[in-house]
Amino acid sequence: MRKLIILMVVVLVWPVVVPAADNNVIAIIVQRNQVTHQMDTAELALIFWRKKLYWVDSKPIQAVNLATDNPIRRQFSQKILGGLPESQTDYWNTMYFHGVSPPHVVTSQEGMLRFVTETAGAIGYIDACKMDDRIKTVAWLTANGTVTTSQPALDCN
Amino acid sequence: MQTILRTTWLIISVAVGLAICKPVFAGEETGTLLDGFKLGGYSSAGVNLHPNGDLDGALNEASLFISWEGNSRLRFFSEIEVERPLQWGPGETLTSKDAFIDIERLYLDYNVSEKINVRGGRFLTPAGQWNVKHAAPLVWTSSRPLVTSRLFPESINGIMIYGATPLDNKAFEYTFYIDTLQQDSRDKYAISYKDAKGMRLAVTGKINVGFSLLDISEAEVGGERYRMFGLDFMTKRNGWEFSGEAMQRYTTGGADGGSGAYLQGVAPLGNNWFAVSRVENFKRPLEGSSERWLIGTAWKMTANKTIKIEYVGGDKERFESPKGLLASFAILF
Repeated sequence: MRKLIILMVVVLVWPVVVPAADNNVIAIIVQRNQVTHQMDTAELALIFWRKKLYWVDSKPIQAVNLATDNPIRRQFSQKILGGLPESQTDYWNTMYFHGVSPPHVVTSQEGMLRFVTETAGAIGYIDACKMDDRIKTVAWLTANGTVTTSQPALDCN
Repeated sequence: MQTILRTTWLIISVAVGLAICKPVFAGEETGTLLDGFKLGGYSSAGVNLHPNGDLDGALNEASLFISWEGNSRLRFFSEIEVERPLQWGPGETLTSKDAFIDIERLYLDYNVSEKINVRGGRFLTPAGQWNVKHAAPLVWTSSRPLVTSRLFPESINGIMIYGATPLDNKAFEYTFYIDTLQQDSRDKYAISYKDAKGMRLAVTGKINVGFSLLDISEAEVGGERYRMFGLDFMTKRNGWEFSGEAMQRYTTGGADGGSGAYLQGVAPLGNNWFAVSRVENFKRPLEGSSERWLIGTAWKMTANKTIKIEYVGGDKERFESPKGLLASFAILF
């Protein structure tokens, strides 16, 4: 018993490796009338892991992802959820066992804009340069992986 | 018997139907069959070549989930399971003599606020991590560590309050629960418990660490009351996974009421093959102690189908903790 506990402690201090980052600024978007808190990485992770299922106004949160091979999805997943989508299958199988499905999936950024515009409680993400006035941005995920509520400088050319 | 067979075939039929409609569960939702309602389930079958040369096998379970989620604060989930619907052993033909139908989970969730949810009904006891994800397609081995099922009830009928909140770059998750209605397990090998109340606190992120506390009485002769403390962890990176749990129980008088721990490691071998190893120990006053070691492999054929082969060694063999060579197939649908 004591040896097992010592082994468990050794494993717990195993060093953490942070994956390399990509270079797009990503806008985190919701419906224009959605009431939200200030977003940070941990809050977004709870939402996209579907551990937090309701907004502060009690609306069900409708998280939406781009397809697993979309570079924006992969960047978002790596920086917010700490791994690429294909590494999350076991997690989603476990959540499925508890009756919780993964976020919806849309196949394009225009599809994302339409889904978020038309779905109450929706939250998604797009390339910040694709933003328009159908939706509102609640946070930006910068190239270095920081989540900020102040719009960073964008190079959309 | 007829009812069990009919239910088994119903669940298998639904499973086959779902498998045809949705052959692989790939972690992506693209729509629902009916607004808010979802069907799913899992099943597993396996064989065990015991150290004395005996060979037995079973369709271990056929399980069906029904869940509902609408545009309200309410959610519903249920899991109906036929346990050991078919089995065979030395000198036996295929039989369903130990089969029974179990409502493994049946509950309503109500969202009170962003960070508070209330669950009422029958749910898996959140003590450690294995018990709440014990389904064959979700675990790496055919066998289950004794400490994850023999020191506390696997399910409870009662009320739970739970939620999650951001903590630095991680999440803090809490669960408090109380047993309000005792129900004896229909599994003849399970231990009956009563009057459970407990909690689990966990920090999840790159490493998941959980602490469990449980106050409980055994419903068997003597009815001793226990306080149990548990610690568990799991970390996963690049296909490697390390996990473990340790539980210690004390009687209300402070005497040792049983304990156990396991430590498990998983290593990627390529082409969705994984090596698995585990060591564990367990002791409980009424049934003595047990030690096990395991080495094996698992092949994730697809996201929802797994084949597992393992060799389990250790001291005296017991029904709930078989030894020898085990092989099984599990599917989540």
